[in-house]
Amino acid sequence: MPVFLIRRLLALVLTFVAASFLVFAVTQFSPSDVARETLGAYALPEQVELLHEKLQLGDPLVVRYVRWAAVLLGLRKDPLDNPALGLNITEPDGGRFFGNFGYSTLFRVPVNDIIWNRLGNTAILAGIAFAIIVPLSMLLGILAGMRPGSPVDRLLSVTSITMTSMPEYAIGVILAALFAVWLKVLPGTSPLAAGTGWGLPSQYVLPVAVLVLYDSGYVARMVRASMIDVLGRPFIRTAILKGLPRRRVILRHALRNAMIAPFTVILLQVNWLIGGVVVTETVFAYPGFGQMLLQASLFGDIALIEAATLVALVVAISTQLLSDVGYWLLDPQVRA
Amino acid sequence: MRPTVVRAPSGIAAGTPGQVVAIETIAAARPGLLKRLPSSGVAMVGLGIILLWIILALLAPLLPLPSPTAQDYQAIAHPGPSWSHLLGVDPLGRDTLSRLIWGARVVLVVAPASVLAAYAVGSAMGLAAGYYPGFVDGVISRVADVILAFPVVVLYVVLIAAVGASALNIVVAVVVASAPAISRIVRGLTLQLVRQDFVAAAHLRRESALFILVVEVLPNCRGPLITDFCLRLGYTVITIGTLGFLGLGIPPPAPDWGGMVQQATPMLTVYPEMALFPVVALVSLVLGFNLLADGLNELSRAD
Repeated sequence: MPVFLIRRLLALVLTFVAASFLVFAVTQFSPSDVARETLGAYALPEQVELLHEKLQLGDPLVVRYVRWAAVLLGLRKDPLDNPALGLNITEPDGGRFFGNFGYSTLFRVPVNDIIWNRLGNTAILAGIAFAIIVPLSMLLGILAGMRPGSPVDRLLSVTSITMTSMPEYAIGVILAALFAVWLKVLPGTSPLAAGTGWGLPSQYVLPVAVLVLYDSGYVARMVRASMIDVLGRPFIRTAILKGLPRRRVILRHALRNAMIAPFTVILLQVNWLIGGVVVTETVFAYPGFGQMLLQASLFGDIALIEAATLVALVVAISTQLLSDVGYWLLDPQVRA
Repeated sequence: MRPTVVRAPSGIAAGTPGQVVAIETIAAARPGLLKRLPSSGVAMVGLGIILLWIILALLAPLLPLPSPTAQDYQAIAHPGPSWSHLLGVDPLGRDTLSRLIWGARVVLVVAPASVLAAYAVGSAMGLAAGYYPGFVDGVISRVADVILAFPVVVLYVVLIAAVGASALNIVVAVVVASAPAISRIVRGLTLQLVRQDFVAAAHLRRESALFILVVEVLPNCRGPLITDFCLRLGYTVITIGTLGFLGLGIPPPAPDWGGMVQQATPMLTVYPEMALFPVVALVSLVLGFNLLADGLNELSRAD
């Protein structure tokens, strides 16, 4: 176990390095430039040129990447955080600390001042959605998988294939048209601000509903497939022939085994949910992480894009690691 | 519908459920899967929807429709459906029906082109990784791991925002994002197939590696890949729509379904149908691909 975990952790660190370099390299294609963005649209070309030189932006990509990584690891001060440049950017912590993501040229504040707040908002949204998706899709999947071909099963199949054919923004637009425009019972946007006339809880309903509808069908289908697979195995036949009541066979024998495969799927959903969140937040103007990433990408705010993708990667990869460990714990057969 | 089948955790490779499925499907994929298609009602419904869109897209220049970019300024005041504009107009006064049908041309070219390109790259990667274990496999698999670690939409947003939105860049982004997943499937299948007798026979005949991979191995991968191809087509239609909705799609004034939804969303409270028509068009096409994939999957499992 420890060897397996250490190897995975090492691979994880390597993935971070490769992925952050990839994002760094991709953002170089963007026509905008840190110097231009920092100084704004009204700066003279000479001023931009000067800052460009002072920040050494003409250096090779790898050199700049290493410099960026050094700032992140707290080995170096953010080059923008320099009184001699006269940009009035100073980090409260002295500028040299682990996790210094630099300065957002879009929001004109240190990345750390904005990203955690946005991430918190998204965590609430995704957390509520996840807390509904998991039990709901398990229940539906088990009900459908218990009797394949039954009306419940067919209804679930039709619904889930329809739902998986719908992009998040399509569900969002349809729900908003229904509940916000025609029925007028829920707000169509969720800026989480006071003064919109709608309470805070009501602003969560539609975004959460989109994520739940978008994701539950797929997980339910996975649970169903796993349930059918387990119910066809010999030990279930033995349990039935032993004269055990059906309820007991399903609850005690089938369920535990049927949960192993969907467990992985459910954790991998977190990765999928991050993507869903980007779109859902854009639909409802929800001030979250995904909306911030989109804005940063459209603006070309390299520091913020790097920070946001790295955080998304940490979440995605750690859930993958968790699913591997969970799989290892749940299924004694892989341990052997 | 997301295209990845249950992914076995990467830490535990041998004998995981994913591979068992792969073996079963190899055995099941006899030639004639496409010939038996009519016996699946679900697949035929899906195929029907797709064909309907293809016919509409092909007939677009012949149909009595206004140009998809022509603006009718008088219609903007009352953009709802009317006799002159059956599905109404968009906020710029352009005919919605015309933009939907011309938009089908865009999506029906860009989506298959992207998926085919992704398949070309992904299959090559998977074949190489499965045939040359060790260094080649290691490099390809690590690259795939890094890309697959990204949440897909995040990858698309970062890529397209950096290189700029265009049909070609969408194709490139789809290749970058989906080739690793395809390569994983093909690699798994190749690993199974190279151990079989007909590959050993080809080795004895001193065939080249390229011949063995392309003529002996690749055709035998087609069973599981046909289903995945259909699912991926549907998923790519969703992706193109999502990018359009996020403002990263095919640039205006070209008719793009996702972009149409984006432009109509601010008017949702006043003219909800303006956003709903493109949504319905997009969902119907994706549903077509998903139903076809579902039917193919059932068929390949039935025997």
